[in-house]
Formats: sequence, structure tokens, C-alpha cells
Amino acid sequence: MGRKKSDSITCVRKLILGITIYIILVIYLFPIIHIFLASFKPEAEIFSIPPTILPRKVTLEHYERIMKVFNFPLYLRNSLIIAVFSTLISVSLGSIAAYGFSRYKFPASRAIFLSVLLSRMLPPISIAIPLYVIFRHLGLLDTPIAVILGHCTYQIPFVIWLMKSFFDDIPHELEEAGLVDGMSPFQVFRKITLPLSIPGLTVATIFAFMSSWNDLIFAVTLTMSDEARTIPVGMSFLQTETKIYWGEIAAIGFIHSIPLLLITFILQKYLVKGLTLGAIKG
Amino acid sequence: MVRITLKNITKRFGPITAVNKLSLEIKDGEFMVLLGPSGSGKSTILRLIAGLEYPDEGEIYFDNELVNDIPPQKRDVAMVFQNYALYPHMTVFDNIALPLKIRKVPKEEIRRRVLEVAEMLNIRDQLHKKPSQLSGGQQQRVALARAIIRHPRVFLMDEPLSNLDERIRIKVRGELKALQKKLGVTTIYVTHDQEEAMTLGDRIAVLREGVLQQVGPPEEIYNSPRNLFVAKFLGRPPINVFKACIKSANNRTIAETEAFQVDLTDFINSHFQLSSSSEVFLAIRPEHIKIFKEEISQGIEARVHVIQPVGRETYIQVELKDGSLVNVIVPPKLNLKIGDRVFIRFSRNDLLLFNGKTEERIYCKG
Repeated sequence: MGRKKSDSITCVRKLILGITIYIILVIYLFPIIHIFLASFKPEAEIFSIPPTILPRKVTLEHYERIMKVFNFPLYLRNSLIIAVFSTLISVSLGSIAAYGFSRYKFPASRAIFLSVLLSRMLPPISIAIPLYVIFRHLGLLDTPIAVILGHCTYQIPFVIWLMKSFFDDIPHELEEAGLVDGMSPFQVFRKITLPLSIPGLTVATIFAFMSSWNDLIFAVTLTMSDEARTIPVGMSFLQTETKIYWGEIAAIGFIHSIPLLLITFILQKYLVKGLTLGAIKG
Repeated sequence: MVRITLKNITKRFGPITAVNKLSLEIKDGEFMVLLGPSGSGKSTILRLIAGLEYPDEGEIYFDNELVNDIPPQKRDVAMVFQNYALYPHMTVFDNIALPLKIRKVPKEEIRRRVLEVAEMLNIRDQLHKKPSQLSGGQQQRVALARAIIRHPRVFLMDEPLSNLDERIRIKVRGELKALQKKLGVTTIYVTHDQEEAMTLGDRIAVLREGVLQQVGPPEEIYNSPRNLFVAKFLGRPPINVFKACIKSANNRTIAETEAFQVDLTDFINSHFQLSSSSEVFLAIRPEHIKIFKEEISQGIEARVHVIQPVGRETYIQVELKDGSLVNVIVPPKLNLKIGDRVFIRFSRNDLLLFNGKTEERIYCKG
């Protein structure tokens, strides 16, 4: 009898939990689904009353227009180049720096570490404007390189902060055991420290890519022509004084979200691995 | 297999001197135990020998080769860490095989040797698992297997048994000693557990705040401690220590404590003069005290304070009239109750004397 009662309680609890999860999912997924569906609706239908859920008439006109009239392929190319390279640079440099901060004490190491973080605390625009002046003198303005370096100034502190706390959690004894077992310091880093920090590197990669991919401020400040503009900048041009191109914005918005989804799906197994690895320390 | 010589080693960490002018020789094939409380520098010595730390002063020799500046990977030592430091992302097999892989030993031979070592340590069924899937005792064996697989010149062990529960600890302790004798590899073993030190070591080096106190075989350290610290550190229950004042009268020398007197006249070496009113420590091991229920000549009156039976024998604490507590080991059948009036007695030959100021041993006749 008592057992039956507790069974029904767990059943109710599961039900409530399930419903809550669905509500949260609807709240989070609705905008994405809405954009996805809206991008296939004719202009008139997007704002029709009563609103439609599925497009009554499927059209690819918005996709055609962003490809032909707007310079979307160029924006996409720039966005990919900038996001990939700024992520590669910031994750590799940032994690090496983080390893140094984690393992070695040198004069003023703590002060240097904090000042690196400080640059992350400033609002992005207060870094973007001086960078504008610097890049103008260097003749780098309006090139992908300028935007890549701009993103790096913002991402590297984040990677250092994230990876330092990650390296701090890897027991020193593991590296010392490696040395005593006969590995050179570099072999220890490659065979022990690096494999153990893959979950951290995964998080760092996702976040760095995401912040570069979504950035508007650096990209809009440091570029002037379509040659270096990214998708968010290009998208902002679809709000004109006379018209807002909702259908095209929806189409771009949908394509824009695909790479991030892909990266997260591909890397998520390493994230989960990281969670289980954490349990065996000590 | 190698003889290790430490000459005047000093190691500082900022303001702290972890090891202070330490000289020690560890013979080829010897099982040397470094014993001391936490902060005594014993782990630092181990790390200095491994090459994980470098000495500020002094020299470390493996046989006649100076190894001060040789990095750990070139010293050919194997170390077992307190928390085992198994590589969590590798299987047990890969953990054990790693030292050989690094040395580019052929695959077939690696396989053969891993299986051989796993057989010896009884972990053959665990080879495909990850370290996290093993029990503490099994993890400890894997760490040991990783150390012995490549026949190193030296084994270094940093409290390898302290994370195991009592029953397994005693079992592995025995196996460890047998294994070391079988392999004949020079071994340096760090522990704060005096019982572990006594049972494992060919010799024990007792350390305190980075300074070597005494080196010798376990019995010698136990029976003939060079100072009060060593005397107190070994033995369970701990040695009884009384502060005493030397009184000279009528050509007799008497040590007087708050609770009793001891006549030391015939006992003091002729060349050693205890000046009157100087202070000494009298120390006596619990097993050297006899307990009586009836009044006896030269017995010291006491009252039973605590009774702790441990099976084979019983630990008793008695309270003297000045309130000081004395540990005694008695046979289990002695029928005593808390609060009983008893008399204790000990032979002067079992008494150890220590200088009241320096706490150094005062050697006596007999």
C-alpha cells in the first residue's frame, strides 16, 4: 500500500518535471522555429492576422534575394573566416597562457593575471574605438585581419580565465608522475595535460566561436565595405529607413544559427566526457 | 639498483627551510623509511631524490654520479604517489605500459611484461578498466605495477598506503616488503606512521622540521632513541615522560618528580656528572611498567583512569597523585576496574634519561 503511494508520488513528480521541461523548451525554441517558418512565408503572410503557424504558401524568394541582391555569400565567407581564425588563435594562445598562469609563479603573476581579466571587464566599445585608431594607422582597417585581432582581444582573456581554473583542477601529481615515468615536459603536456583538458578546450572553443560569430560592435566599427563585413553587420543593413526586410532577416537569421548548432552538436560528446572525468580526481 | 648519497642537502621554500643540512646514505638494495610528522621535510627529500625539486645546497649522488641537475625523466627512478596519480584517461593496461612506451620498448615485450607484472600483483582482470572503476587497493596495485614494470634504479614511495583502510593496509604492507626483497631495488619510503616504519624498514631515518634526528634499524631507534623527540615519536601507546629535578645528598644522586623519586647513583656514568638541581626528563616505555594490586616496596601509588582492551593485551592509563597520567601495557586477564588503587614499578635499567634543556639522550650504564 505504502509502496503504491510512493510510486504514484514519483509518477506525479515525473509528470510535473516533464511538463516544466516542455514549457521551457517551447519558450526557448519558439523564436528559432518562428524564424525558420517565417523565412519561407511570403512577406504578406508574415504579418497576417490571424497569424499562421505553417506557411500557407512556401516560398524561397527571401533566400534568393539574400543570395543575389544582398551580399550574403560574402558576409558568410567573412564571418566564417573571422570566427574560425579568431577562435583558433584565442584558444591556442589563451590556453598556453592559462597553463603558464596555472603552473608557474613568477614576479607579479597574479597582478598580470588580474589585469588580463580587466580588459574583459571593459565594455567592448571602449576597446573597439582605440583599436579603430590603431588599425587605421597600421592600414589594417576594413580587413578581416582587423576584426580577427579585435575579437582576439576580447576572447583571449576569457579563454585564459576559463582554462586556468581548468588546469588548476588537474592534479600536479599526474604531471610529476609523467616526468618520473620518463616523459619530457612537452610529452607530459601533450599526453597527460592536454587530453585531460579537452572538456575545457571544448567549452572555450564553443564560447570563443560564439562570441566572434555573434559580434556586432567590433565588426561594425572596424569595417567599412562588404569586403570585410560579417553576417550580423550585413543583417543590420536590412533595417532601412523605408523598410524592414523581415523575410530576409528571418532567412539570414536561420542560416546564421546553423554553424553554432552544428559545433555544439559535434563537440557535446567531449563536454559530457569532461563531466565524468571530473569525478575521479583524488 | 644503486646507492644514494645525500650530502649536506638544504632546501628552502621562501622563508621556510624544508630540509636542513641533511646527510644520509641509503645502501644498495636497502629499504629505507623516512619517518616524521607532517612538515618534517620527508616528502621534500623524496622529491629531491626524484628530481621534482632541486636542492639549494648540497649534493645528491646515485652511486658516484652527481645527479643534482639531472631532470626526473633521466634519473630512472619510479615513484608511487600518495593519491597514486594514475592517468585517469588511460586504461589500467596503458597506465602500466606507459613507462615502457616512452622508452620505445617493442609492443610485444610491453604486452608480455605488463601481463607478468599484473599477474604478480593480482590485477590481471582489471587491465581493460579505467582507474576510476577500481577500488582503492586495486588502484594502489596499479600504481605499484607502473613503478616496478621498468626495473628502475630506485623506488620512491610517498605514503602509498595511507589512503587504504586498515585491513588492506596491513595486507599490502606485507606484500610490499616481500616484493622489495624479491626485486632488490633500493627503496625510499615516506610515512608518518611509526608502525609502518617499524615493520617495513631495514633502517629508519627520523626527521623533525627538516633536520635528521637519528638513523638506524627499527629496534635501535625504538630501544635507544637519541633524543626525546625520537623516543616520543615511536611506540604505541606513547612513552611516558616525567620532568624531574636532580637532587644530590649524602653522595647519592636522586631524580625527583612531582609524584616519585628515583635513585640514580649507581646508574649514572662516571664521566657524566648530573649537577645538582639540573632538570632531566625520565622516560619509560609502557611495556616496561609493571602493575600491582597490592602495595609493594618502591611501588608508586596510582589510580586506574582508563582501560582499553585491544585483545592480545590491555592498555591502561593510571593517574599518579600529582595528576599526571601514565600509560601501561598489561596482560588482558588482569582484573582491574576504573578507580582501583594500584601500584606501579619499573626497573631503572629500562629508564631513559634526557637532558632537560637540549632533550638529548643522557647515556647510562647498563
